[in-house]
Amino acid sequence: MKKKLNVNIAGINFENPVMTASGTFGSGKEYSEFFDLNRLGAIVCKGVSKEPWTGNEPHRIAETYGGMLNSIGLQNYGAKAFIENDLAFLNNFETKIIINLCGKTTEDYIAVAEEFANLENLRVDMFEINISCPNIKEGGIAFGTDAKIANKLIKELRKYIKKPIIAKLSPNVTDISEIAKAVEEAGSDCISLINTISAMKIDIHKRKTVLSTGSGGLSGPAIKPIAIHMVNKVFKSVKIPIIGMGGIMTGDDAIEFIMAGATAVAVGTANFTNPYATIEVLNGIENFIEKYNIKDLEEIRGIV
Amino acid sequence: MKVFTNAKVVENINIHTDIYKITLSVPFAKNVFPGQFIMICLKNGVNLLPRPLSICSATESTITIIYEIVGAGTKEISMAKPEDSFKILGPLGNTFEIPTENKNIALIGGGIGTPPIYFFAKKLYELSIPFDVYLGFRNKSILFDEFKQLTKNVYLATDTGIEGTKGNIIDLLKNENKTYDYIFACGPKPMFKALATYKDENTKLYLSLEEHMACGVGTCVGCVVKNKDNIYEKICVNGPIFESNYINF
Repeated sequence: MKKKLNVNIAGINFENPVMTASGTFGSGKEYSEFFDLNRLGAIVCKGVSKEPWTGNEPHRIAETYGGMLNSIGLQNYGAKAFIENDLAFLNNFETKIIINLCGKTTEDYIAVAEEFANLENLRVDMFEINISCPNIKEGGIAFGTDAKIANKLIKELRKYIKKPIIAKLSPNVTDISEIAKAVEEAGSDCISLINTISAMKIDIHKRKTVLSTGSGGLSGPAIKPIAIHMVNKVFKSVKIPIIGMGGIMTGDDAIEFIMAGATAVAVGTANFTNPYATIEVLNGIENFIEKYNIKDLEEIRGIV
Repeated sequence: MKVFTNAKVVENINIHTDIYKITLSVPFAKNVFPGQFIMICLKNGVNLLPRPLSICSATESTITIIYEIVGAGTKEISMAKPEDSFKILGPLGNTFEIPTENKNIALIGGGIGTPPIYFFAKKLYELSIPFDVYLGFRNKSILFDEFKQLTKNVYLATDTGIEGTKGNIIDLLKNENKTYDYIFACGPKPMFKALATYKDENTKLYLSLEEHMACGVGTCVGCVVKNKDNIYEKICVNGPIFESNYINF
């Protein structure tokens, strides 16, 4: 019997629970050379702002023990070019399309949301609101580390976005469940977590930080236990579905997130180490449910 | 077309000090061009990111890379024995473009930046296009004898004077005092800056850049260089080779 892999979030059916984490998969074009993008549950695009953003000075990348730091600064060529190029490309596929929106002010977020509001022939399935990027000077994380501000932003965006909204949360907070409850109250349909953890690496020979910005965001297997903990904490605090991410390298890692309470999972840093990472995670999930004769992922969701 | 594949180690030998030469059996070897690089994935999960390494030469079925141990990743690669294998991704990046007319060409290698220059020199030699070679190292050279087989005009300098002339690439260029239509260079950033300042206005200078990199295919947007319009370009896909006037480094 065929096992049930599809999941439902905010009334949208995803063929399987494997998505890409924003900023680790571009808009899929680069990886379409390796496999059929239709095999993914969803593609979550790299963050897009209304106007082009330059991004930070190099070095933007540093490797750390079982992980990496990044400080890209949300470099992107703005919504218009994104719609013409990336969104048009993604519309060639059946896989669900999630646009990640970023801004420095509430007005910025509204402005970029409006760019996507009246697209005639191009499909967008959901919007992820990035209120958690640690690498831009203003905005981003500032919205995601204060429950009141996060609530106000999502409430405001709710007026402009008709499609389902995912609020992407930062782990750089005292109590993540507080923020989760605040965005749920504001009308967010889903929560994704965790974004990267603020972190720093120092080159002891040069006596300066490796990243040009000093600190950046830590991702990769090193952060997985923290992510699992936070997903479970949020799962116990809210009723809306969760997209879990943070260091997923294998199908077993994904299963761990689902057991912690995630409805879907996103593969991030692993894409950089293996272009087939998402597909291998999907195959790993299939193997696991086969092995334990799990008919529906609901059977194991949030069982801890 | 980029391929993610297993590559068996054919040979992995120490040349001198921390410099090693590894030959890998690679299915895409005959589709590799001078200037391109591969990403080598490590087995130890502690060293998470694949390592970008330039290709020094290729046959129908193998590629050879000369690398220096600079950290834990290259240390791990240096321990590999014949018959071991690595997952690799390649071929990546653009290539050195062969000048269409018969022009005066200089190839410049600084330190561990020299191997991709050798790959290009071999290509030019096969096409019977003449060129001069300038090499600069701290102490000991690599590939000097190999370059000598391709052209008699190989000029060598070391900081210590242990081999060749005591000095650097610019000292060598000043000594020879030749005019070039094209210079192709790979090496450290200070060398690039010195070359950009030294070169004649009409000389086209092509530089092969490096930067901290994660994915190698353009998605992480980590490895960037500012272009003349102050927009960050991805080194892994738009480079690694750029014309010096095009970038702002």
